[in-house]
Amino acid sequence: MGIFKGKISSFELKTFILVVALAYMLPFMVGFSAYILHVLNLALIISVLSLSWSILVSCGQISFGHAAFFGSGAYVSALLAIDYGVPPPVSILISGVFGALMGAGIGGLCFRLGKLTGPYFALSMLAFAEICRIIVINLGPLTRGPLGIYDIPPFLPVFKFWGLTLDLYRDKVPNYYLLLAVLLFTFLVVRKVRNSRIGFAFKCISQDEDAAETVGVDTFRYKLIAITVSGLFAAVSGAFYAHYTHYMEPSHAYSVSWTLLPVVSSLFGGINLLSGPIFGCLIIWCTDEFLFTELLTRGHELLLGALLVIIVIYMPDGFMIKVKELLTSISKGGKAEAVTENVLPRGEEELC
Amino acid sequence: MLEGRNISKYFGGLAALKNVYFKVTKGVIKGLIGPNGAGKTTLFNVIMGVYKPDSGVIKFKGENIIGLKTNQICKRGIGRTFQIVKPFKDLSVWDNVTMGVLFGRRNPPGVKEARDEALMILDFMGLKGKREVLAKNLTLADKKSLEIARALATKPEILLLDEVVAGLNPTETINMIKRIKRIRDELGITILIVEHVMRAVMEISDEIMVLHHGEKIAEGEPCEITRDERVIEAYLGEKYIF
Ligand SMILES: Nc1ncnc2c1ncn2[C@@H]1O[C@H](COP(=O)(O)OP(=O)(O)OP(=O)(O)O)[C@@H](O)[C@H]1O
Ligand SMILES: [Mg+2]
Repeated sequence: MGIFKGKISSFELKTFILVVALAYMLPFMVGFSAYILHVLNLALIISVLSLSWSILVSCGQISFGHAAFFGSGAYVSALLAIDYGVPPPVSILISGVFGALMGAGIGGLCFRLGKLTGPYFALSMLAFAEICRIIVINLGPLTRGPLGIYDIPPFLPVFKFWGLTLDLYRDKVPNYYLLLAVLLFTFLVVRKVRNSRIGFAFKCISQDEDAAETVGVDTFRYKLIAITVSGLFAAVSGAFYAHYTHYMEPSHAYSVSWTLLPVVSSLFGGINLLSGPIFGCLIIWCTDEFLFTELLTRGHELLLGALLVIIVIYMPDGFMIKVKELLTSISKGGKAEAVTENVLPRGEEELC
Repeated sequence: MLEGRNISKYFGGLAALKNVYFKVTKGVIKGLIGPNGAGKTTLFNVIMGVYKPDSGVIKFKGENIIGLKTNQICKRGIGRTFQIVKPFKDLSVWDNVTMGVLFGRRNPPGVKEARDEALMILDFMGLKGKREVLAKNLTLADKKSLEIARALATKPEILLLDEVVAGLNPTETINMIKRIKRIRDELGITILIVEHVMRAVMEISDEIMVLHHGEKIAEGEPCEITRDERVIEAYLGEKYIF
């Protein structure tokens, strides 16, 4: 089993369709509960962020500063929408471009000028996020400083057609479908990238940078591509967050949570599978909100931490690997096939 | 084919290479020997653009290659193996070599052809039967063969081999020597080989050059080298290996 081999099996395709169908049915299954859907919506946004972070990981680079892209995406889109009247669908796209440019900029600095690797890169990103926060606080006239921005408009204004009202301000259901579509789109793009030449180069770099360079991989170029794409989607997730929550201030936009959640989600779900960061994020977020917070209003993070420790010890590759093994063994009629190896794109057609 | 003049490389105050001149002509197997720390690996790193030399020029097929990035040098036709093997650990043997085909050439083929070509190279290096094994699970001898196979996949005109025989048992050594000869004879690839196992270098090299404390102290045919006073002195205590 190599990473280039194998077509998408009909089983994988079926699983994918089933999961998407389930996701689309979910609002019905939870009885359109605004509270549950709100939690899910946030989880969807953070899934996009986690996925964006995992692009960089697939290229062997760990960032501790994705808050930089997330927060800047949120700010750029919100300010464009409020101060310049740009419709949010457009301002979100612009914020994505902005995130990509930020990624290319910091990537150029770290990878070319500084030749930073491993922890040095990770910590530089941490500093980068902090610098962004301080800039936003101090650019008062432009960003409104520490006060933050209120009344950020939703993705689409309230409008009526055929007697139906689409109200992205209050109604959680259309938001859910919108965010689900964004996640799905991000997933498909990331999957495409990972199964392309670019993805193969990422794989080489993540395995051994010197060896990659020696067999002809332009490591700088591909790392730059990775951080650019990663920055793009991270900024878009931040922008959606701003338009969904309608309020943004510097400490929240550049909160270290946006840096840690992708790390935790990916650890939990498993970074070698494309679906790992998504399900890791959804499950972490929902378990924390629906279960741990109920059990322990104060200090529920403690339970979350304990859960994470258990996962890391007993399933170092993430729980999605186990799920995949289980599903594969079911589909093969009990003949379990190890999927821990070569879990990345096994072919140009592989799904997740 | 590959020529370097006045190559110097300093690490702080330490001169790893001092005004080294070398020339590898097309079609030969050239041995590069010298005691530990002589600067052999450093010379490879300078040729491959890993380090920029403090002085000197390196010409490959008449063009200066100093200042080029390692990946560009690879695409121009110089392949290299690492003394301390660096396989793509979690990839299969086959995928390791396919990566070389996909990225190491100026006009790479598509994935399918790349895989087919990689398979031929694996066959040549005697790794075909282990193509699905993850690189990290190979024996040392196979890892070294894989290093060579991956370098061959980039279609080099010259191959720099860094201690590919060291650490192998007698049978493996014999096989490796045979393969290196076949790479030159059948694939027409020029070879520059660093090796401590004297029996191996003496047997396969057409010419040998000796580095000591970063300086070239001798160069010539194997039989001349074994008689060279300065070489014997440099290897004092190791004289018996000749
Ligand atoms: N990156 C580096 N930084 C500092 N010193 C270095 C570096 N690389 C090599 N050296 C030093 O340069 C000298 C030459 O090292 P080099 O690895 O080229 O030797 P070598 O001939 O390959 O030896 P060996 O037979 O042990 O592989 C050594 O003294 C080594 O310590
Ligand atoms: Mg060496």
